[in-house]
Amino acid sequence: MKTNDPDYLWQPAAQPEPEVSALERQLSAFSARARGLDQRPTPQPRTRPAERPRRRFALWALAAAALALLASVPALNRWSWPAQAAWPLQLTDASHTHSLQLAPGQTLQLAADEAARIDVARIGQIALQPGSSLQLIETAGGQHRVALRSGRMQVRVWAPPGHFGVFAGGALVLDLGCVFELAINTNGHGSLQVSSGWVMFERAGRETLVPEHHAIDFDRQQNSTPLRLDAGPPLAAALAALDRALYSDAAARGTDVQRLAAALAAVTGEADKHTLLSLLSRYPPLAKTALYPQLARALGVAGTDAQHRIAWAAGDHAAIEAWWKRVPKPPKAWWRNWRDAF
Amino acid sequence: MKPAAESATADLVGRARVGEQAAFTALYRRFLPLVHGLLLARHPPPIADELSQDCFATAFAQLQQLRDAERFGPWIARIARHQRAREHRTLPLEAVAEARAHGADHEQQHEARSVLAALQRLPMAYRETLMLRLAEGLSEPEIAAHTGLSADSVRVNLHRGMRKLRALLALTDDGPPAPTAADDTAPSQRALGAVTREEVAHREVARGDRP
Repeated sequence: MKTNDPDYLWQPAAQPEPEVSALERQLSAFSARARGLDQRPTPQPRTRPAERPRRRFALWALAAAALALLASVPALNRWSWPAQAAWPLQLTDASHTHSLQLAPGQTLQLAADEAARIDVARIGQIALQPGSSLQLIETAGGQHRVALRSGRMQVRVWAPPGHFGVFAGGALVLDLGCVFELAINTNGHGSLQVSSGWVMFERAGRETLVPEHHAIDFDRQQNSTPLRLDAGPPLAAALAALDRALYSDAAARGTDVQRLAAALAAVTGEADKHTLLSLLSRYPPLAKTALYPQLARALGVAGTDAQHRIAWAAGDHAAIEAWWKRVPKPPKAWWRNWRDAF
Repeated sequence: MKPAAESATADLVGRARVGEQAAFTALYRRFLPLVHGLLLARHPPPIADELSQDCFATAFAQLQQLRDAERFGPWIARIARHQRAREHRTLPLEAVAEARAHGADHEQQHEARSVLAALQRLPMAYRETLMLRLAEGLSEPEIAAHTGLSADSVRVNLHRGMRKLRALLALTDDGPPAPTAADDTAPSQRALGAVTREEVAHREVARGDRP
């Protein structure tokens, strides 16, 4: 980089540098001017609707607010937690149950005949299976993170999305208000099963939403497409074959994606809409295959729109988003399970 | 009366406070690159466009709360940084980067997508400053004046951000790597024919399972 002033990086009027100019050229396509925003009408102040003297309504609103406040007290207490305070846990071995604590930075390594029940601050509980290894990374109100080094854990959390997360094999498993089971071995191979709600599996900025009654497998590089827990062997095999072909260069040589996609489409039904949606969102060109009409059927889309299909295959965000809007939005309405708060 | 575009920011704010439409327009034009650049650092382009409009509508409605009219830039920057996408959904930048890169051919879109993806991995301070400089074309003094940062801070952010960006992109003298053969055909011209594994894999890079 040049060091003499004026440098083109901070002064566009200076002698252009090819490298910076190239980046400018690429990014300027997204600028406000290039996208025509400066030609749009000036936004007007967003004014509130005129208040009307509706005294009775105001009284009701006040009463509702008071009730909501009252109801929220246990929840707010539940979500608060002193930063870096240790979590209580019950460790059970062959003969005794011990009350212990897990402090941030500490790792709980269970023997083959030990199991543990760990309180996730006040928002939930972890059942850690024998032989597992779990480290508490950090804990504070709204931000609780553990790392499952190996073993298996069942988790139940009642809190807003994102409060609780588990690092596993280079990925982050983020609770969105749910019950799930996570397992991983020392080689980084693992599985995630969601019993209730939604979980976000995130690795290197790529996110996979796993809804309730679905599961994924993962290793240090990839994760499979979410699949129903009760999926039959033909569906599991067809999805695994396509996943393998798309993930692995070696396996994909000479593989006919079209044929594998057709085989998968033949064994999927309405209950597999999330699997299909997930798959086609990750690999938009699969919209050219038999999976697209199958997804349309699963989502109850009437008729076929060739333009939409072409747009999807080209990775058009709006086309993909339009069909995502047809499925219930994550996260699950965790607040409906209000009994869990007490 | 001075033309609105040449007026000092404080003057524009004062006139906007009494409802002068030309002053709103001048403020919008003057600070649009700032607001859009900051939103582009956080959201995909279509959402950044939408939120830019929302941000100005919010700011104009709250104009009476701005204490120092000269600091309209840092004030609206703060609003932009806290602007939330509607329906609380933030989409991966890469997922839509290619959707509407106005005036760019497919190869340029591919390159821009790579740069956006790399920018997304930078710390926010560097990402913001580089977006304002490289995407919106603001100079160092303009960025400093608009955001309230010192010129030195802007320069450091640009310099360090550029160094990190270069490392992420592994830039050579030849520029970013060329797109793969699978992308040689523009999507709009691509027939809905057979899909190849290579094409699928190319699309999969850095994309999530949801839009």
